[in-house]
Amino acid sequence: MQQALRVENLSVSYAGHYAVEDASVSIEAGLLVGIIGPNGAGKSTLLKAILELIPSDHGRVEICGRPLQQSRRTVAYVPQRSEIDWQFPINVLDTVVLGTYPNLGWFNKPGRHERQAALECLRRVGMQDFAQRQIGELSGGQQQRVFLARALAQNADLYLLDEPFVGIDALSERAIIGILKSLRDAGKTVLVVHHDLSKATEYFDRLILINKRILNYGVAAEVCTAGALTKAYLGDLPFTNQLGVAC
Amino acid sequence: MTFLQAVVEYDFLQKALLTSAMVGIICGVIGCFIILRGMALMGDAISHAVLPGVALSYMLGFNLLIGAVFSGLFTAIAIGYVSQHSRIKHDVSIGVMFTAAFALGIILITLQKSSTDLYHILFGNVLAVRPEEMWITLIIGTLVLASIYLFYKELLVSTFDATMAAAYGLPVKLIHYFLMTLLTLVTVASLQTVGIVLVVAMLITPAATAYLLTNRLSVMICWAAGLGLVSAFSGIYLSFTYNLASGATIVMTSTLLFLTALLLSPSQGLIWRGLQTRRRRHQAPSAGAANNPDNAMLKHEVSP
Repeated sequence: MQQALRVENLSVSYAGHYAVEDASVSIEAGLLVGIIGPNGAGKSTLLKAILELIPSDHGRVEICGRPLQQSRRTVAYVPQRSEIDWQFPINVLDTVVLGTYPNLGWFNKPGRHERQAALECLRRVGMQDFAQRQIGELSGGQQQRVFLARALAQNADLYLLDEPFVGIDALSERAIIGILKSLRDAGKTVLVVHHDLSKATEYFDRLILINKRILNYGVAAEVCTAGALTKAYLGDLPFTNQLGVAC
Repeated sequence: MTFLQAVVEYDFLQKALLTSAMVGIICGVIGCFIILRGMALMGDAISHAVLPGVALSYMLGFNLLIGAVFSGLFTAIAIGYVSQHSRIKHDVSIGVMFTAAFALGIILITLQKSSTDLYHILFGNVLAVRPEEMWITLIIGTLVLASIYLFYKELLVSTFDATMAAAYGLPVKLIHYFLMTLLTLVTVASLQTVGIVLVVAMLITPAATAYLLTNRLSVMICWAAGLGLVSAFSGIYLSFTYNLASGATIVMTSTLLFLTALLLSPSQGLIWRGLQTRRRRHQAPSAGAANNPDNAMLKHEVSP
């Protein structure tokens, strides 16, 4: 099976402290993968380092067998909701149209074709009725669905989502996980940073368990054993046992 | 003699109107990106930082633009370097660097012992604009507008979501310095109209006014350009008619438009928002009563 993502010995440090240490993982195409770990374990940092959004100390990243520079346009990234200026003067449709930019290249302007594609993506996430709304007028879950629609418009092979389920309603959560699963079924690879262990086995095929180092990568149910989790959530022992049950 | 007659009659007034129209438009357009990137202070800094470059160009006799762009960009890079490579925060770095550049500029200009020049550079005097200065402004204006048109897509996405832009391979740092270059050009173009000290008002105020009036960037840019144009024209009219300082009058006109929008904007205006809040309180009297300041005041008056 083809490797969708290959990370070798990736390390990121801030002021002498490792945020991600010597991470290596190899993910086959066509999987829905959750990245779990305690707060400050370097989950988001790992995603950002994979995309070279932050500098890494050393390490190699390959996407679909090619270095990142040659494969950026096959990757769609959905940032955390807190990183977006929701008062920005832009409406829902135009936000999704941004997803068509990577494939447009310099100097080409989005036209009717791009707007049609964006509308179609909005339909897939059930937000077509909100096309003309300013993004700040939406609820958290709706905002997250719009950003997922933007990622869909990128027509990528690898999708990286940073905490898409934080602070959103149950309906949006179900809609989003449904779309992620359909992407997986279409042969795409999806990586999701997730901090809530409940439903982790229900949502994901594989799990990456990280606490600075990658402690485990494998089939979700197997990673979700108390032993592995204890190591990841070191210091949160009673809490871990509870979560182990939920898992 | 009415203002219109004067415009037809006097060559200098035509030049003043044309120059300030262009300045109003380009400041409004570039200002939209400046305020949406949270760089209002940076706009102020870069506009001040062109002074040493302008002074050196005068002294050594080379083109004003080269000196201005060089010192503006150098300061922008220095600000970025200090805030990224030390514990100094970005706004502090801005404060240190641009005042240093500005001070250096003042020293260089006073060395030449021509205080009138300094006064004009700092505060502008559009009614005394020379033909070549008008042409410089028009050429810069065309260049800036063409750049914004060509790179609109990249500017939009890197302003709204720099992380996504970087993720798909846009050179976001380069775009930042490109915008800083445009900003120094706009500052040079505005020297005669509003001067270095007040150019930041022309960058920020029309764009901020436009921000209150719309929810789409393209519309906001058009509004900002229009508001910049209207402020420039009415400022010159008032300046000519009542013999006021031209730059300052343009800025005050622009501020007046901002205050009007702040009060009356259909979606964001203080009056409209206040009415909506009041209506909501009436609709939910039980929830509203606890928070209502009027009620609290009544209680306070009754209690003694």
